[in-house]
Amino acid sequence: MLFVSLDYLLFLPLAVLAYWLSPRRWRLGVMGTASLAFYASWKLAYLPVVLGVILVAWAGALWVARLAQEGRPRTVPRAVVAVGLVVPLLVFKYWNWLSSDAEAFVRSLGIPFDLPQTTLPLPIGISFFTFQALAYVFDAGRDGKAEANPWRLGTFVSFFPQLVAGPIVRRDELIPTLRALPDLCRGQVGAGLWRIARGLVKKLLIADVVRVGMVDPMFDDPGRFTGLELLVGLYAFTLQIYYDFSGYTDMAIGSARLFGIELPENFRRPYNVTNITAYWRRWHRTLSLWVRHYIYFPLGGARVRFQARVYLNLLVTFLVLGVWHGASWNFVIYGLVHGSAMCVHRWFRKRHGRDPEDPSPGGWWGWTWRFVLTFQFVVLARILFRAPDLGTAWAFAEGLLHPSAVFPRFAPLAWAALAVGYAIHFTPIRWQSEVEDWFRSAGPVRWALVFAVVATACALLGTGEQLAFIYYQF
Amino acid sequence: MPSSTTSSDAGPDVPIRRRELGRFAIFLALLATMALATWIHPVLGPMRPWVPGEPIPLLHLLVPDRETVEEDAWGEIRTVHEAPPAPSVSLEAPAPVSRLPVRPPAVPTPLDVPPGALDHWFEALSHAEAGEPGRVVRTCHWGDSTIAADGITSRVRSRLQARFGDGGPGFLALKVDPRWQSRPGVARWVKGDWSALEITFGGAEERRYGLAGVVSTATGEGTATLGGIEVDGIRQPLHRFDVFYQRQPGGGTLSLSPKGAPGARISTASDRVRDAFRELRSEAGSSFLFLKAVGDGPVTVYGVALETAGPGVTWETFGVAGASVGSMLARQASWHLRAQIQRRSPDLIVYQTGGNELEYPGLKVDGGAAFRTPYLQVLSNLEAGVPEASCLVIGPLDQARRERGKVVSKPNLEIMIRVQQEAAREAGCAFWDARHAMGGEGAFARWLEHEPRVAWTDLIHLTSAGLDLVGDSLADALLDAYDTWKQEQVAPDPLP
Repeated sequence: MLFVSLDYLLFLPLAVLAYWLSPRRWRLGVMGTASLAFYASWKLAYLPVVLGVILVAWAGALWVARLAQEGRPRTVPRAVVAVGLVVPLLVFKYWNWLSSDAEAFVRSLGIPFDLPQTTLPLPIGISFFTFQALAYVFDAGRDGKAEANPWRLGTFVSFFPQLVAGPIVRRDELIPTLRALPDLCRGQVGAGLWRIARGLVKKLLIADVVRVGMVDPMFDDPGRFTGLELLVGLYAFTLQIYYDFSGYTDMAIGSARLFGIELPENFRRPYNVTNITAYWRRWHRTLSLWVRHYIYFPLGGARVRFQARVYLNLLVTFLVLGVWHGASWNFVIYGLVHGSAMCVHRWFRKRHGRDPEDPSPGGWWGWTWRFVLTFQFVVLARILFRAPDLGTAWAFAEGLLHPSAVFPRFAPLAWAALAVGYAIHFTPIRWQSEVEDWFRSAGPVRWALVFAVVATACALLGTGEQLAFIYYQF
Repeated sequence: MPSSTTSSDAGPDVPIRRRELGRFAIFLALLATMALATWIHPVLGPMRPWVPGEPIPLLHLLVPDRETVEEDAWGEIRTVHEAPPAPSVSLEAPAPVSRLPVRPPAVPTPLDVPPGALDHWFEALSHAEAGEPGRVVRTCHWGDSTIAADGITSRVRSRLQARFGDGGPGFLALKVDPRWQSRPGVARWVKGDWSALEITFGGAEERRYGLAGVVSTATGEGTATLGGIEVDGIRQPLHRFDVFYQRQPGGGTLSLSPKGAPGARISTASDRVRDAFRELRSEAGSSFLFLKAVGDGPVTVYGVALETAGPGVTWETFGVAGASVGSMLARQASWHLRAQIQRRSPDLIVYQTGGNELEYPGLKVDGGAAFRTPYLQVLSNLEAGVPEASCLVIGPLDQARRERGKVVSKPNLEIMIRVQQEAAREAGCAFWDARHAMGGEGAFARWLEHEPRVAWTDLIHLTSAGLDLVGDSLADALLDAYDTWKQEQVAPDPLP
């Protein structure tokens, strides 16, 4: 059930009304049932996977929390639970990649070697709910607090607005809310609907139009495009992935608000930055925070004796972040490339003693060249993100080196979506805040009119297809 | 952030909840009313959220899937709708012949050959196959964007050349728009003050565009280097160069130099615009032909035909993006094209358009009768240059459009293919149904879902892999028809 499907646009209000019209003691049950039904709608066979992860996380967290309360060592138990949680992820997502590479390596030594390959479909959002459950167990092992109610924990892991593509929510961000089940606040419905409308526009009128008109043909068949077209295609993909993912996040946050629940933000204009550290503080923030808390800090973070170790910690952290996205060497290199850039930036930053969010020195010119450098780096690294394999990534990168003076051949609508998308990204934030404030206070008649306008625009200008959100694959 | 209150049903926040839920309910009611209002008038049809025949929202999730969720090539999760099943045979297409290889998702599709329609070409092929010295069998293939970048044609060429020998690249225009036109593998390096005019945009002097539908003019100094493909790292030797150019008032000097062979220096000046040709031969074989407009006046060149010593075949691609029956008739002077074809003297003429004419008004009335006349006129113009040449018409590929989230074939394709097939028969041409080779009705939707990707999301064009599939299918059909013809030649006459 895609967020942009009619199914979801009917399912959501039904779930919201069932939730609020139920007696208070039933609401958690309604929310959990709706979440599991939502997940089962993708494929019933996926349901045992998420249920298994919930069960392992619930029992495992109670175990390590008790050990923590008793002050007993829990490194091994925590590792055992973590392995239990990660096994489905390894089997479904990484097994074929790891086993085929292992086979190739052993065979290259002249030894016949065969490993079985799995044909199991990848459960939607498995990386998201696995990481959320892992973080929960780690937190329980740290402070000895675990949720005793399995249904509440199940609802925490499977809460449908954020189940398949985040935001990745940490224990203290959601479980207290699921205990309290707060009532609706003034303006929360308007705020939720605003985020849903914004998400629909981002996804259907910008991301999908740019994808169908520019990005897909480019990566389907890079050899048939000029270098300039490939470059425009790359900028288009950079825009598409942002609008696709942030559009999804908007709809997730908006849907949760209709239940009176606030989810953390995932984006803060990530391309409008002048260094790579600031980029990662604004792009997929909940994942960045996750790897910071559960990979970088446990490795020692920056509190180690030798600076070289800090850089190693950064590289390892970004390697995990890269591989989290997908089982391929593309993502290994993607992580390492970004990790290296973080190391370089950290080195410069420490030399000058500046915070990543400080205004760039050197005035307008200083801001401009830093912005251009950072943005180009992010754009070029996207080749690794989008190409299906290293061969295609290389072919694409090579194609960029074939300049052409001819104007790229894309449909006017795709050009318009690209221009509008980038323009919106770089407009002052207060403009959007003013529009949001107007919408929130507008009332149901204007809300309905705005949705009607959005629906009409999508019908007339959109691709007409229900294209999945990119981050569902992770 | 929400209030941290833990109010119960009877708590102080209940009025706020009721008020908020009331606003939400009004919003939903208004939205539902507007959705229902789309049924008031047909003009609002595209805005209808659901129409009969589509899966019933939510309820369809309770029954076994007609759509599945799966990973695509780069790991993306997507919803795959059940595409229409591939018909085994389309209404107008000939029945598949089992001996044609199956290349999924393509469907084996034999040629429809009226008696004698391809005999001239088959005869020429048999001479080349027998190794007749110097025999180069030429095919000129006109078309639109489908073949402009050598899609389809490259596979046909390589398959035929593998069997009958390589006759060289054939005719190459000089300056082409690299966005659309290309001949991968051949050398075509153009530098200097060359500009080009295509039949799709017009503007050429006296509507002269040459065989390839594109005419190049150097207004100052300009060079061009043409050569064949590389075999084992060595550029193939070419033995014959036929330059198609224009004489014109004030025309400049064109220098022609086959590598390692005597060249020529031509003045293109004349009292009026006229077409001219210059043949050069290289006995030892030249890897390149160098052309140079020295800059003493405009030099206009249609292109150069490059051939090996033979025996072998050429398959020459004259595809122009956007080309159509209209551009062939209105933009290209028929007398000029006739003379160009006469000079090139092809053994087989292939014409493949239709994808750009689907919205022609003439196609939509009387079963496309008004489209048939100009279509026949184009075939007649092409055949007029070499009446003895064989002729093959290729129908358009399947194209699609999005209708309420589904990819469906364009409705006029069936009419277009029927008109083309009838016109081909009337003109004595063979016919090959490229859409049938893709699988007929609904083929584009199926090709779009295929891995590796064989169709573009523009719902019009195929990827290189897709075009190779169609090219192989066409080559299968051509070779099968040739083999059948050969068997008939050796078979004894039936007893009286």
